[in-house]
Amino acid sequence: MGIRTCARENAAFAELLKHYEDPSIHLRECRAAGVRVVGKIGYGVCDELILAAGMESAAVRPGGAGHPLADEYLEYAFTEKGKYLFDAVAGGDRDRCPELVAFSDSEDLANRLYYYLRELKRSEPGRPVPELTLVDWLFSRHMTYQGWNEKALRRFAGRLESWSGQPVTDEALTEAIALYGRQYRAVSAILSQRTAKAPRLTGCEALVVLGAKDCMDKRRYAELVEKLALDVPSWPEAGGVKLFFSGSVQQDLGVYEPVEAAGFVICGEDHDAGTRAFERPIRTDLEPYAALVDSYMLRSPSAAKGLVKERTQALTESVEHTGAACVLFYNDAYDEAASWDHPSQRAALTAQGIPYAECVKRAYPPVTDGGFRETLQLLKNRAGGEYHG
Amino acid sequence: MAETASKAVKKLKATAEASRYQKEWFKGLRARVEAGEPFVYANADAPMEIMRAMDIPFVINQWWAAICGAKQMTGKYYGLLRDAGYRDDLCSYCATALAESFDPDDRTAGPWGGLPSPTIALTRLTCDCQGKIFELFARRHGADLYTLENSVPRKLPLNWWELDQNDWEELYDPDRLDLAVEELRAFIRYLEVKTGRIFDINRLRDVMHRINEQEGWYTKTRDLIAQARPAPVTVVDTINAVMQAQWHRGTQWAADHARGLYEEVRALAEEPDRAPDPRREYRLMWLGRGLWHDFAFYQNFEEKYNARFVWSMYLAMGADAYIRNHIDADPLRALAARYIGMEDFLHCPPWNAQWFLKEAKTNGIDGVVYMVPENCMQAVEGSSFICRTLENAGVPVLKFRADPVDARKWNRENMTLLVERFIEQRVIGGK
Ligand code: SF4
Repeated sequence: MGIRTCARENAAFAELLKHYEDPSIHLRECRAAGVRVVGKIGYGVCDELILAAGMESAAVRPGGAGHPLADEYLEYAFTEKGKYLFDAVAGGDRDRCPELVAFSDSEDLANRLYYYLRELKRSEPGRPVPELTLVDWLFSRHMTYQGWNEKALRRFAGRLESWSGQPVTDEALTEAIALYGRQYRAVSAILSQRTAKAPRLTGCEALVVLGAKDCMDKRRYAELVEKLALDVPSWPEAGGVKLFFSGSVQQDLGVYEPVEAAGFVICGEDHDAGTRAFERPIRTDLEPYAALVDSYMLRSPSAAKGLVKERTQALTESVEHTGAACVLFYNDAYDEAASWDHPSQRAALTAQGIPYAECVKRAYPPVTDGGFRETLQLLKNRAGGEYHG
Repeated sequence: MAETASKAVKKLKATAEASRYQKEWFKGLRARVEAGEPFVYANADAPMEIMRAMDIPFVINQWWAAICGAKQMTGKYYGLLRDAGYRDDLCSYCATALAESFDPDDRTAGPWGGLPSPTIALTRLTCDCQGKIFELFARRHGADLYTLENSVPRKLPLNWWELDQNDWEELYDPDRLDLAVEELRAFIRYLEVKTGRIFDINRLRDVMHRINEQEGWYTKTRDLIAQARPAPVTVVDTINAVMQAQWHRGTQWAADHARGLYEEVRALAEEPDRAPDPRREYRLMWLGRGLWHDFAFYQNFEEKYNARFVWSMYLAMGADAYIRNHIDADPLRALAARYIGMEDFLHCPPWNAQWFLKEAKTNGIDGVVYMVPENCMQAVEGSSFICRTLENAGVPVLKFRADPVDARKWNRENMTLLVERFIEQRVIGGK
C-alpha cells in the first residue's frame, strides 16, 4: 500500500505529492512572486482570511536535522514535533518557515509554542523570530464561545491586514470561502472513495491530498483536486484491512507508510492533518465570520479539546462511517491528552466488537521497529486479516 | 497538612490551627453533604467566591491532592487508576481525586474519611487534560461537569503586580474580562437552577471585602519576612498556614487567621532574645508547587548550612495576586479580574519570570530551588526564561523535576545531595 503507481502516475496527484514532499517549493515560489506567506501552527488558522488579505498560507512542519534551540529553551514536556517546530520558527530558515506565523490554540502545544516564541522575540530581539500572532479559539461548544470566536477571527483579520497592507473585505472573504467550497466538494468526492466498501484511495494517498493544501497555492490546489476527483474512481481497489487511525497529528508519511505496508489501509483518522479539515463545509448563507466559526469550531471534537464522552461517540461513529475493521491509537510522547479518552473508547469499541491496539509515548521521528510491527501483526490477526509486513 | 507523613517541624500556632480548623470543617462538610446539601469539587483557579457567596461548600482539587500526598495515599490511588485501565504516569497532581474515586475503601481508609461525592465538578480549561479528568471524576461520582474557558493574554506587562489591584482594566485585554463576566453570569444561573439557592451580589461584595482583608494580612506577613533577618519562619509553616486558609477565603475565620499568622510572625521577628545563628543565613526561594509528600525536605539544609527556604508562591500570591480594590462598583468584574490572571502570572512568560525576579530581590534571596512538576504536560511555563531572568540578575537557580504528590519516584537522599551541592557551589560558593 502506501502510495501506489496509479497515484504516482496521475499528473494531478504527482503535483500534489511534489509540494507535499517539499513544502519549501511553495515558500520559494511565493517569495519569487512577491506574495507574503503566513506560516500556520495548530488547527484553526483560517486560510480563507489569509487569502482574503491577499496572502498565501503554509503549514510549518516538524523536521530538520535537530532542535538545538528547543533544547535550550523548552522543557521536557514538549513533544519532539513541538521542539522541531520551535527550531523551524526561531531558526530563521525562510525555506522552512516564513516571516509571518499564526498559531491557533487548538491544542496546548501550539499555544505554548506561541508563548515561548513571543517571549524569545521580546527578550532577545536580535533573533530572527518571525512576526507572530495567535488565533485565540475557544472550542467549548457553547454559544458564548461562538461569539468570542467571531471576535477572535476579526482580530486575526486585523492583524493580517496590518501584515499585508490590504483590507480583508467581505467580498474578498466571500470569494475565499467560495474557493474553499470548490476544494471541499472535490476533496469530499475523493474521500468518498476512501470510505467506500472497496476503497480506491490509501491512507497515505489521502494524507497527501489533504496535506498538500497547506504546501501550495490554494487556487492551484482547487484545480488539482477537482481533476483528481474525476480520476480516483477509476483507480484499482486499495486492498488491506481497513484501519481507523486515532491519535497524534501526522504531517508526513512516517507512520502511515509502515502501517499500510503491514497490510492495512487507513480509511480515516481523527487528527488535525487528516479529514477534519474537510469535515464541515463553510456555509455560504451566513455572514462570513459566523460561517467560519461554524465550520472550524463545530467539526468533530479533537483529542485536545473534546471531552471523553464526545470523543468516544465521535470514534464509534467514525468507525461505522468509514467501515473500519480495527482502530490504532497512536500518540507521541507528551501528546497524551487522548490517553484519558482511551479507556472509554476501548470499552465502546469492545462493545462493538472492533479490535484495537494502543501505541503511546511514541518517538518522533517515528520508530517503526520490531515492537511496533508486532503490535500491528497482533492487531491484524485480531481484525481477521493476514500479515503482509 | 504534611504532619502525619513527614517529620517537618512547624513552629507556628497558626499552622496547627489551620489544620485543626480544616479537619473540623471537613467533618461538617460531610454532615452537610449527607444531609443532602450541594457540594462542589473545584480546580484551584476556579472562581470559588461564587460558591462562597451562595454558601455552597467546596473542596479544591490541588489542595485535596496535597492532603492525599501528605497522607501517603497517592501510591495506592495511582495503582487503582492503572487497574481501572488508565495511565498512572500522567497528570498526578490533577488526577489524584479521580484515582481516589476508584478506592472502594475510601470512606474508611481515605484522608479524613474520604472525599464525599460532589454534586458538581468545576474546572477551567487551562490545558488539554483538565476537562477530561474532571469529566471522568464527575462521572465516577455522578456529578455534573461544569467548565469555564481560558483565554490567552495578549498584553505582556512586566509589572502585573502593580496593576492588578486597581488597574485591572489596563492589565487585561478588556474582551477577556467581558467574556469571564459572561461566563460567571451563566455559571451563577446554572448554580441557582441546580441548587435552588439564590445568588446575592451583596453577599459577593462582602466576600470580596473579607478576602481583601485576609490578603492584606498576607501582604504584611510577606513584607515582614522579606525584611527580617534572620527569617522568623520558613515555608514549612507559611505554605500550610496560607494554603489551607486560602481554601476558606471570603470567610471571617480566614481573615482572622491571616491576622493571627501575621501577629505571630511579627512577635517572632521582634523577639528580643531570639538567638540568631552566628552563621550567615542563606535565604532560599522555592519555585513550583509544594512538595506535599516530603515537607521535611525543606528543613534539610538549615542545620548544615543555615540555608532556609523563606519564600514560596503561596504566601506571595496572597500578597500580590488576590487583592482587588474598589470592588463595589462591579464585584463580578473584579472577581473576573482575579481568576483569569492565575494562569497568566503562573505559567506565562514574562508575567511569571518578572514577578519571581521582583520577589527574589525584595526577599533578599541567595538561591532558587525550582521544581518543575513531573508528568504534567503543561509543566511548561517558560522555565528557561525564568531561570535566565533570575541568573542574569545574579540569583543562582537549581532546576529539577519531581512529582509534587506522588512519592513513588522521589529519592530524598539524591535530592538532598543535589540541593547541598547547589548550596555549596552556587549559593555559598557564589558569595
Ligand atoms: S497537564 Fe498538568 S495542569 Fe493539565 S491536568 Fe495534567 S497535571 Fe494538571
